[in-house]
Amino acid sequence: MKNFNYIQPKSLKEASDILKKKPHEAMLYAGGTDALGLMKQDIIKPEEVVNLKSVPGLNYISYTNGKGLRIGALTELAEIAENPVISEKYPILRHAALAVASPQLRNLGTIAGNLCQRPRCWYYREEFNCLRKGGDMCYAFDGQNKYHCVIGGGPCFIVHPSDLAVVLLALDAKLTVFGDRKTRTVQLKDFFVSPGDDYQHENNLKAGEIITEIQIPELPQDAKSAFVKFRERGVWDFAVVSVGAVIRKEGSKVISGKLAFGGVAPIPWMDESLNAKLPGVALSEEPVAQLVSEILKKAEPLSKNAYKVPLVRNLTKRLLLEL
Amino acid sequence: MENIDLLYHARGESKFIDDLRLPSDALYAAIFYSSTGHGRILSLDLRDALLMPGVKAILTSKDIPGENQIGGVIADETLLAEDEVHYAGQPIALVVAESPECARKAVKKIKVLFDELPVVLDPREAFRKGSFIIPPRIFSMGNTSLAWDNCLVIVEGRAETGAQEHLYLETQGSVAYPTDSGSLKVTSSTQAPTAVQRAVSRVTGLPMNKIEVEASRLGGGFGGKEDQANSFAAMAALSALKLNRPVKLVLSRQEDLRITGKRHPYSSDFKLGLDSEGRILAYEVTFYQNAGASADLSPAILDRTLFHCTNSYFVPNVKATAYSLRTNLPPMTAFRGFGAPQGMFAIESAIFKAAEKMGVEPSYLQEKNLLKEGDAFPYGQSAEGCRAKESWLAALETFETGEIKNRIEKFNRENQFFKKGFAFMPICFGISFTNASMNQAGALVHIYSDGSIGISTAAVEMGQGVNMKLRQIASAIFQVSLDKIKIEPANTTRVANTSPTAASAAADLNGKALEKACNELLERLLNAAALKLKTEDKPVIINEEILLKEEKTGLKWEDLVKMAFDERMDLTSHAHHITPGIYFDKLLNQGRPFNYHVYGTGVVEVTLDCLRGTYTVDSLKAIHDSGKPLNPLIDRGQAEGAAIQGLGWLTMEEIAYASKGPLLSDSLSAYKVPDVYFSPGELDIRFLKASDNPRGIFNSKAIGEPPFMYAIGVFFALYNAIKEFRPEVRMDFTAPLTNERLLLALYSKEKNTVTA
Repeated sequence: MKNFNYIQPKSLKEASDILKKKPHEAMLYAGGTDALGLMKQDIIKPEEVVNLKSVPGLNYISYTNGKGLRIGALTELAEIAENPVISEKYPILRHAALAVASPQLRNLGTIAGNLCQRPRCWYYREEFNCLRKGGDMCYAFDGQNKYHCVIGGGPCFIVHPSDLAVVLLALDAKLTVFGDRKTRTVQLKDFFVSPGDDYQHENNLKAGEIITEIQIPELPQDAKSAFVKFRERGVWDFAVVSVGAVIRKEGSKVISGKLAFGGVAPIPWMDESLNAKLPGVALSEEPVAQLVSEILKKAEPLSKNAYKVPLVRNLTKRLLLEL
Repeated sequence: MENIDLLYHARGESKFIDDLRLPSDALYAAIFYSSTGHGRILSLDLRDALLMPGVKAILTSKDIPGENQIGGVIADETLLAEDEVHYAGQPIALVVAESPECARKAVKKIKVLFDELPVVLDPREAFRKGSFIIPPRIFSMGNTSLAWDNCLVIVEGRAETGAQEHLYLETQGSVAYPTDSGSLKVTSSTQAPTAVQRAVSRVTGLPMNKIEVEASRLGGGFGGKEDQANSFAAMAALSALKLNRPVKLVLSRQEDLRITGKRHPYSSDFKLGLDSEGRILAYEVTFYQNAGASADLSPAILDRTLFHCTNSYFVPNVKATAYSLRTNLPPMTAFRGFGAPQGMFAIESAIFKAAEKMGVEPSYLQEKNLLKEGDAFPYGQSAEGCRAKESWLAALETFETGEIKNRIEKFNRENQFFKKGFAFMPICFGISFTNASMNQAGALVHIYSDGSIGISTAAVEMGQGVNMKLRQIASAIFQVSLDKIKIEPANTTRVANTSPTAASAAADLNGKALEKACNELLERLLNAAALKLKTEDKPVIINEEILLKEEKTGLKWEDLVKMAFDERMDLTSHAHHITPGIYFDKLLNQGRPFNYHVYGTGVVEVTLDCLRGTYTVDSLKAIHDSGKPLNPLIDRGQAEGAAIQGLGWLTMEEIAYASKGPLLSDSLSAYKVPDVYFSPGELDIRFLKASDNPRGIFNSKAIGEPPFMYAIGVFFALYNAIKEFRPEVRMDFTAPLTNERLLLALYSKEKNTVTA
């Protein structure tokens, strides 16, 4: 690890100014669970480490009846998992938070940090000068790619590692972002960036921008939700694929809903045309089988990851039938 | 009998290499290694690294005073690369600095330029290129080419098994101290102190008597420290010698994963022929062993594959050919089972395929062909004290397999997306080093004048409980309590010219030597007691009391020892043991290589979630023939641990290399091993009753490796479950059977063969 200056800003403005002044040299630091690993492996070598935790007021969970949930960017995953309001109103969020890593990491990792994780691609994490690190090729395309994306890839074929992003997408969340002395609001679905547009960044935060809050709209009383994370090890593992579903139904028929997928694309994946097919689907074997056959229809698996397609379809099928 | 070592482990008091407190002038080494699988070194730029404050020296092959060679079996492995590198992870230079952090920082400042050369990772490609480590090895019995005509059913196919990381908790490491008169003391996390001594001698040019090697305890070895501890000890020794200061070298987990070799991946072609009743008439098999960049122990491992290629079956006509092939991977090395699991997997695959073709259950063919007393193995030895059928029948009865089968059939009828599978796995494993000369051991026993006892052997305690077993042996012979007995660290100045703690044989070999040494001392003490008691009769010791004609004499153990000391008796004994009656002719490939065989039968039940491709191993049970176990608790622990380690090898442990050789799965986030959640719901290993073994110490049998192979049953149980879901599928026999391979087997469009 390279030596760095450790900066403890007192305000968002101060933090943002440093980041803006030194877009390549300064790095924002929150829980540190991913950042430290990246620094130790010399994947990023910041000169200034800006500790956001010294800025007060970014750790809260606040629920207003009828308006929904607001979560401060620095709220730890463990707090989300333990919060009684979240457990009651947004159980899917608790479920996703609990599915992340280990208790120790959940005590440190923050919700905004979870959304801003860097990819787990082993070529990216190892000593390969890959596209995302400024090199000129994606090693996974012709290489070891069982964990890589089956859709939305090219020229880089990562998957986005965040579990929370998948459920937040299905929950239609928004982010508040501070930067340039003002705030903006961005829909989570517009926050992530495909490698086709920019293969060195996973989101559209500009230099100096900091996520300050995650907002989740009120869920209708009758909404049902579920999240499933498929991993190779029982605990402490990244998702091979994951599925989040938020559905309203009447009787056994879906009125409206959203499905979101992790582990299949370089961004947390949502297919609007698929979601448009949800209304009217009866939640029984045949119609659900018909629906899930539409999932990842345009997938272009690499040499070793074709298994992800039936896996996601089967997981979704089971998830919907058990709602 | 409780193993007191466990108490120290649980309290964190056991000392491993990295826990050793070093003198204040100690230095720390770190390794600069190749990042490419094959290349010519065009330039090596050490300037920036040398300029770093705290860096004392950077050593390359040019600094080696002796021979730059650590190849034990074949001299084909340099300690530090010279002009070429042959695998990613190959050590090139050693940085010695004031702290490990400083040394590692300096390593990152070393610059190397390679002229990249073609990289070969696949053993069949190496075969086509003629890159052999040793000439082909062929074991044969009968005549297969004549036998095919008599076969009603013949199946052919391919079996593939992957590499496996040892993942000992304690990474490789060593500390070397310069001592006076130009000597070195080396403490090493090694299974083979003598091998380390030999390697250090070769590299430093010092004679062996100037090198003292000690191994006090290991945080696991599993074969990974049988040969591969040598180089790290030699590096620490070289650095200590050059700088005349103590030097410690302990690998980080990532360095260890990248630099060290694994279990050999094998690719095998099999052909099996049977008669109408399912009797195996002929078996031909060709093994392509991926040996990595140098020989290491590959030739010996290759031989054990051949020895066990028919597992616990009698096959009258066998032709088994094995190639050890040089590739651009780290030198593959010993790992629990030592080549046998790969051999057994191939014949089990062949039997599964034959059963498929004949429309019978694999267990029908397995049982039909089990070895019987006196049956010949393809290497000239015949089965003596054969317990193949006995353990099979005991498994049928004990585990009520008939009922399990009925229950599974019912479950499979009633469930569409969950399917259960079931398999038997008989095992037969030969005990002895296949290199006959290694079957020797020494023991040195001191009785101190206060009656306490110190024992030195070559056995290295690495969590397998051998120290406890040795204490039990001495305690049983002297009839003194366990707390009077201490086992000293294995040290080459106390017991010399030793064999590694390996081949499951440490308790057997060292235990026998110890038995002999203890008996000699006992004889002396009892003679002294008879003299003192003025009797012609022979006294005996029971519970530290000297008895004569079953009557207490009032003389206690301590009194007897004190008396013997005062009489100027020698209270030290050294004994040497060799395994009698074993030999093997490596030209004819015939002989009696094994002292005895271990048998057993495993029974495995799995439930497959056919939607997700996940599964649970509901139970792994076995009737295991361990003779009269010396310490049943330790042996059960060994058997359970081995079975779970085997389970990992066959299911989730997948090692991924990039095309030019670097290891991709170089952390535990990418390389997945079984955890407690993955372990079988029921793990029930029972010892075969009424077994014994006059050839083993106190009638026991070796335990370390054989139970590993029960896990092979998990693979075939899963295949049976897949077939319940998709009867038409015909799969390749490729392990590990990871989730994605399973999913492809369940869902890929091609119906005939599924290749993942």
